[in-house]
Amino acid sequence: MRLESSEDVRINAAAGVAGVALPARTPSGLKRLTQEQIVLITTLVLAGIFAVLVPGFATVQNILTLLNSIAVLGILSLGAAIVIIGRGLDISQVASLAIGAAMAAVVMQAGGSIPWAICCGFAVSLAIGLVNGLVIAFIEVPPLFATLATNLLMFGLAQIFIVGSTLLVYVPKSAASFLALGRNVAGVPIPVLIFLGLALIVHLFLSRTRIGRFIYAHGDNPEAARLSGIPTRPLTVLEYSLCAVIGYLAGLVLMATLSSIDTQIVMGTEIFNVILVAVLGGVSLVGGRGSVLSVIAGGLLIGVMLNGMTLLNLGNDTQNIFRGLVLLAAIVGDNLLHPRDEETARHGD
Amino acid sequence: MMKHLLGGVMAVVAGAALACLSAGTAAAQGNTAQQLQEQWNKDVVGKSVVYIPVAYSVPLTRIWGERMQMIADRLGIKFQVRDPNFDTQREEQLLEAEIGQHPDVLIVHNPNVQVLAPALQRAENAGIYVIQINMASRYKSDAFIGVQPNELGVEMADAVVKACDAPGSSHKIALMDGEVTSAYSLGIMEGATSVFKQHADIQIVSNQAANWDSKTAHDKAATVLQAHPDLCGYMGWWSGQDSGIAQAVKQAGLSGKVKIFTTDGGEPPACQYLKEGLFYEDFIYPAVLQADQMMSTAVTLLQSHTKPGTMHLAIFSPVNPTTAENVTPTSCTELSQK
Repeated sequence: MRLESSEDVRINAAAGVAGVALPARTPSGLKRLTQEQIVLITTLVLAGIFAVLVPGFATVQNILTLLNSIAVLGILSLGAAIVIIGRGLDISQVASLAIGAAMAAVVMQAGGSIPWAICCGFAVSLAIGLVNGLVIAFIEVPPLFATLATNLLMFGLAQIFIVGSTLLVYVPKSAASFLALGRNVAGVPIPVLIFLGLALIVHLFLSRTRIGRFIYAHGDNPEAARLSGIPTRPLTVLEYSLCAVIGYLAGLVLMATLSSIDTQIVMGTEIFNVILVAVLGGVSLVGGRGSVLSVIAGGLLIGVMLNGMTLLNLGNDTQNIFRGLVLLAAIVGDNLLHPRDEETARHGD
Repeated sequence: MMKHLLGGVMAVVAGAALACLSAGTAAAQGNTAQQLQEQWNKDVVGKSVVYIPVAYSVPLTRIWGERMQMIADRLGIKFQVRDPNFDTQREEQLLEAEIGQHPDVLIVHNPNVQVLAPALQRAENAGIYVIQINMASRYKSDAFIGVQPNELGVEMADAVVKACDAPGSSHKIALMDGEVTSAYSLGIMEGATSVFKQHADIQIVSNQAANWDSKTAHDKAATVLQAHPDLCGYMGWWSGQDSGIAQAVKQAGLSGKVKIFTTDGGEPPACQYLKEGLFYEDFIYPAVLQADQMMSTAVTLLQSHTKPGTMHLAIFSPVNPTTAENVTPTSCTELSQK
């Protein structure tokens, strides 16, 4: 078992839960670096290269635009990280985003007040999270299958009962104060402020509260967590509900930015970007590893690449090659520095 | 006397002949209408038409689908929609499955020039008429109905040049491609490039692709506007995607300064954006007319009795450049909310 500074929480939680002293070996040199640190360094190097190569990259305004472009993805990844740290996976998070937001838009179109519309959307997204959590915790369906199924189910139900078959819902002009969510405050885009605020809250929740630590313990070794008295089933329901509700928040931000919500994204590949951002930064799919910093690091790397390459006006194919290479480099680097640990690498052990 | 008799006989004969002639014509007319009805009943009624758009949730493909459904119901044609929902592989599977089901006509909307081409050829070899719509593949099937992308590209680029080549303008423009490998994108790009080449003072500061996604278009446009706040024009080729550019322009406080040129099949949100000044000019092609042409072509092919794959019809759609000044309630088509 490795012992790394950022993983103290995990180790402590696991050790506390298991009630055993863990053998510790302190790595030296490069191996001290955690994955999020490696990704942050990669991001900084890349940003440095862009700052030299691309005029207009290293300006405050451009950095804010960059942050704005990853705000929605970042918010989603914060929710996904909670579930993944608890050794789960939520494929249906984009459904919580789109269907909840669409519900809110439909209520606004029908003349409902903005707070009421937001509450209606919240209820829909929370319901998705609760269904996921209950099916996974109590019926013990593997999360991948459970959330894939709810994703399809909710999309179909939404098509029939909420959005109609056009799938695209516009925010009415009467809801101008809602659309202000997509604007700036003192030059800073509100989506960026929401992302940073939520990152702080999730960070404090995961690292400073008992339930947060339980989530690490749950992901690190579910059986040990259960045996030591952690109510893992209700905890699972909580994890998926938080993920869905955070997804809904991302949906509101996205809808305010674009003045519309296209529920088509439920069937798209956005969820892979979300998981990629979390996993890239070090939220391991085996559970119990990673933090909010991982999400920020992963999001920044994606944002810097997107922004720099757009400014460089690279073609789509070239962009894909670079994106693939950088992601591969980050993953290979992590594998070299942190070889797989048989003790924790297997899912469901 | 004889003269009168002769005259009378001739009159009778002539009258009889006339009567016989008119009766014969009536009989022939009756026969023609009857024959046509029989031919119609045999060749058209009860035949099946399957429509496979790239996705059935976007306004354009729904306008087509709903209109064709209505016509098919009236004519007694079995009409079905298969929805791959933007999944190219799924679209190919659906097409293969349909070849097995052997409908009489397939109406196919290609995601790009390559992927469905072999299957379309197989469909025709299997005896199914194939009509391709708006986005053609590299395989030339029985019919193509849609915009002539190359000419649309020329027309749009001409408008961009007209707006941004004026003295006092920055002459800077940006392009937002859709799916770069679709025949539609390739054609528009080729047409537009041919125009921009002739105007050396027009500077293309960005040429990016957003894969028809409004969020991607929004983020890329926000970045480009950051670097070039003096941009004159932004040209994209689908209003659903380009609404993201419009929001980015609005959020950058550049509404009215950056002119957005887009195109679509008369989809309702686009007209709203034109009225609000978020789009500068929308090159609208009439989706309802296209749907009528699709069904007419299907009916024509069914009655032609030609072997599928032998005819290569083309019907190119007219384009109406529409601005806030000339947008009317009929410029865009309302959709049913079913």
